Amino acid sequence: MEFEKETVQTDVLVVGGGLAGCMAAIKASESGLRVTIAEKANTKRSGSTATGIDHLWAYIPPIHEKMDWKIEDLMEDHALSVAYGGFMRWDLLRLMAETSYDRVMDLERFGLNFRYDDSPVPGKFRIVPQFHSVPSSFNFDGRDIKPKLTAEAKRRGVQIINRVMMTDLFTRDGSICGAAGVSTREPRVYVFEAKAVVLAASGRISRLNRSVMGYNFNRRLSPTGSTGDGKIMAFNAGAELINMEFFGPSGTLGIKNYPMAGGAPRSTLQPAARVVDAKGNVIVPRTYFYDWQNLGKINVPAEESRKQLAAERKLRVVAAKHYREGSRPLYMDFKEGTDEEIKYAEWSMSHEGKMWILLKYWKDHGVDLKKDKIEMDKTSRENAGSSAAGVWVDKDCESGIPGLFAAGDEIGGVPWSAAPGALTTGWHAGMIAAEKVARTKGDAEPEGAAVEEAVARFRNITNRKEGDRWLDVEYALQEIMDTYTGEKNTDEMLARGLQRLGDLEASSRMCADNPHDLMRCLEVGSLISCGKLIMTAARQRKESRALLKRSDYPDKDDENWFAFLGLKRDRDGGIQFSKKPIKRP
Amino acid sequence: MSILIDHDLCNGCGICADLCPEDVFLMGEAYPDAVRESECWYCGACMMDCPVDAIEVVFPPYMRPVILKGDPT
Repeated sequence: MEFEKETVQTDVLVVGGGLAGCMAAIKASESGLRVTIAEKANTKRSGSTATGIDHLWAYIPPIHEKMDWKIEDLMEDHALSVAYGGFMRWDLLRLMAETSYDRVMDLERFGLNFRYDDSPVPGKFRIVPQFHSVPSSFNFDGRDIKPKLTAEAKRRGVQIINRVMMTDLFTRDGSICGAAGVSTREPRVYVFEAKAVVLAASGRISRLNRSVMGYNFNRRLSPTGSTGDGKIMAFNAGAELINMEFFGPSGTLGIKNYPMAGGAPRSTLQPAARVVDAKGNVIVPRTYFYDWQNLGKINVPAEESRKQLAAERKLRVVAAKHYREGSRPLYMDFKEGTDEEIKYAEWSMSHEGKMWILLKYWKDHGVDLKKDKIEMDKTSRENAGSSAAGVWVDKDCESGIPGLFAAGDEIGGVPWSAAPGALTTGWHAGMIAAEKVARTKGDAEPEGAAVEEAVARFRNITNRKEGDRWLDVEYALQEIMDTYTGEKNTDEMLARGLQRLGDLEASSRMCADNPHDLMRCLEVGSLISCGKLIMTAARQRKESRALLKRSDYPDKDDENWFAFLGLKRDRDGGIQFSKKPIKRP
Repeated sequence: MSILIDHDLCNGCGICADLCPEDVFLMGEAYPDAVRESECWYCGACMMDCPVDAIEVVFPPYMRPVILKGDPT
């Protein structure tokens, strides 16, 4: 295949057009500078909110001030509920909490509806409990968030280039000067000249393990095109990554056979959904709407509500225990729900990503939520919100490479930052990136040799007449990840896995005769690189903590390891480790 | 076959092919063709956005939610 080369000159390049990327581009465009989004799919239906989102957490001053619940309370709750007792970037979580409400107001301005005439909540919002000890998640009409953000970006003059897989970041004198990518449909290489890059490709990594259902491309929390490209680009350019060792949980409980986001009880299917075991015992109880009539009149002391939060989080472990100990099948049902509550759950389902289609299936097949039970089972392993793996950035979302920013799930250190993380850090990174460009003199010009090296990599794959199908190499990778990592990691297994990944990388001869398959080959390359970093990091952290479970170091070691583990490429192509102590406010 | 296009309804607008997150479709002269059905993420974007409801995404047998029907009495 002969590649044509297209050069794109811009000021702020946003890699990835998901929630974070669109917000970054929209904010950066206010500066009047040129802003470009490079997106692997089509921004209208890409990323983790491709087919919608029905809930996002926020600090909501008009509600939370009346509850006497402060930002500091949100942070403590978040630490307790999803961040393993505070193993997180407290400063970034503060940024997210402080600006989340403003970003929701922006979404409203961009055409998303958050207000409901029948709601008893001040502001007519719909707010439900999710991660925190008080209701803090907006439920809203988010099915078309991506088309709406796309329209807003276009309205502001953002250039959107769809169907390009980004592969390389370029630096000159240690600062960002551009990037390269390859079209997924045409034989074309894009070379971007930009003084600032906001990395906002999905921070989640899919397809690292065999799918539990035996079908490779339907995974739970992220589009299957999320293959860690952003992380690997950043790492190769010299940026530091953290949390790579916290590799996806061994599958959480979800709806059997059809993986999607949102589950029982504290998510899309509330308030009425609950989980029962084979004998009908309730093992995860339903939730209830908050008593909004009493807002501000009765405030539960923070300590008390935090105890309840801790108890509810424990239920997730209980469900896993039931799964293991033979009280299966486990089911979700809505038997305790009123008609109104079930209607509410169906409404939020119709807006949550990948649940509109599930709801349609249920309706088409005569599922009656008042009477029927829906079987639950383990979903595939996935490197998602619990891992919080990604680029190490400062409080302004800038990495160690001047001009290289990260946003959303690409940032390491805040478990389940999810949508609010994307909206807030996307906005912030876009703002700071634009300010930086305005201050930076001179032109951005990637070195010709670096560009040629990238093109040569593409040609290696497309010029090969015979070789390995990308999917077969992917299966080989998944076998290695499944064999050598899991619930009982040891140094010997991780070392052997690392060796086998190296062998796979060296020996595989992927070939493609069209741009789409070239893209898939490059994705597999990213996945192998991710696998290597995951195993390397897991070996280095000599303790068990959060998602990392080691048989050879079974206990938590706060004295030595209450810190992030940084991975950075050194000059010889090896890895430089660093420990970054966690800073509590 | 999991991605079914009703040719009587389809108007060849190409929206499904344009939007698919995994680029599963190839736009033919008249109709889209789900040439890469094995890479479908089953997100339903094509169904959601087809202006004439010409697409049905059918869950293969191993992907179907498992329902225990309730006691009708």
